[in-house]
Amino acid sequence: MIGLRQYPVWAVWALLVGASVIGFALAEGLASAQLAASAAIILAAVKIQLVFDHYMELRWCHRPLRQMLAAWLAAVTLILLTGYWAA
Amino acid sequence: MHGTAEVARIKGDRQTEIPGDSGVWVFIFADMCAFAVFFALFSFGRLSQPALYEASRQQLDLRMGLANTLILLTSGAFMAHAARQARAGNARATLHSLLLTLAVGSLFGVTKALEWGAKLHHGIGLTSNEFFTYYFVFTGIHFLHFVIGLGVLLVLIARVQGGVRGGAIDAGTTRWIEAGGAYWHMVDLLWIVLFAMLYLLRAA
Repeated sequence: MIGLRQYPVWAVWALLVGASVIGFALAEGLASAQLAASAAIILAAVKIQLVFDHYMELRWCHRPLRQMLAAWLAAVTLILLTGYWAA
Repeated sequence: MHGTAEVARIKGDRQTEIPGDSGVWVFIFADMCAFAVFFALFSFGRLSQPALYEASRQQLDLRMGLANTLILLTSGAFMAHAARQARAGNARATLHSLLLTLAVGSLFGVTKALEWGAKLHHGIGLTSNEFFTYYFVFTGIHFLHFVIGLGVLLVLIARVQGGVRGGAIDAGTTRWIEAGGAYWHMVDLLWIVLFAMLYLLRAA
């Protein structure tokens, strides 16, 4: 089975654009406010992981850097989700 | 001639070490942590005044925010393509990709100027309220990173142009492209968070 990591840059770009348009459409009123906001945060996290792996090409990079960036992404996602749901 | 580590790094587009230079990654990670503090400040501020933040968010142009996102993602794809071409030793293709990265990326400056101009035209500025203070400060600092990124791209283009004349691209230039590319992608990913946080978090 061919994994995403073997796809060319433009396939990843298409995924990033698709995720951005979906987040935008949900925020424009295609879903309830809470669903749209949560989806926007999750989609942003997925997009950032794609940028890490396929634009920055960190998917085969040494583990400590990947772990630091994964921790950053988890912290930012948690901050945004907590900030939204606690308000 | 490439050393063993360099050969392992570029073989089959597989990398076993950090792309670019480790010093650049220290800077990138420190910068990302500073922005994480900004995101926390915004989220904390939103807790105390959710109605104000929502009313202010509704004054932002979501279509312009999406356009900015698509511009940076497209420019980033050209940058990633440039790094791959550089590792393959294709100087001319690398140069073309870097020029496209610069051309598409520059549009972000145009759309951001239009967006800020529209806000200022409607009397919305840095001191209008807390939301817009964060909006202008955060997008302003991000814009500064974007401008520095344009400078980095110009340096990379100048360096690769020498390689095109010589018909090849050396390992040192490839490392420069990887390091510059990592910085440019950081500009992408910080905008991804800013777009979600400022534009898309619709209150119930």
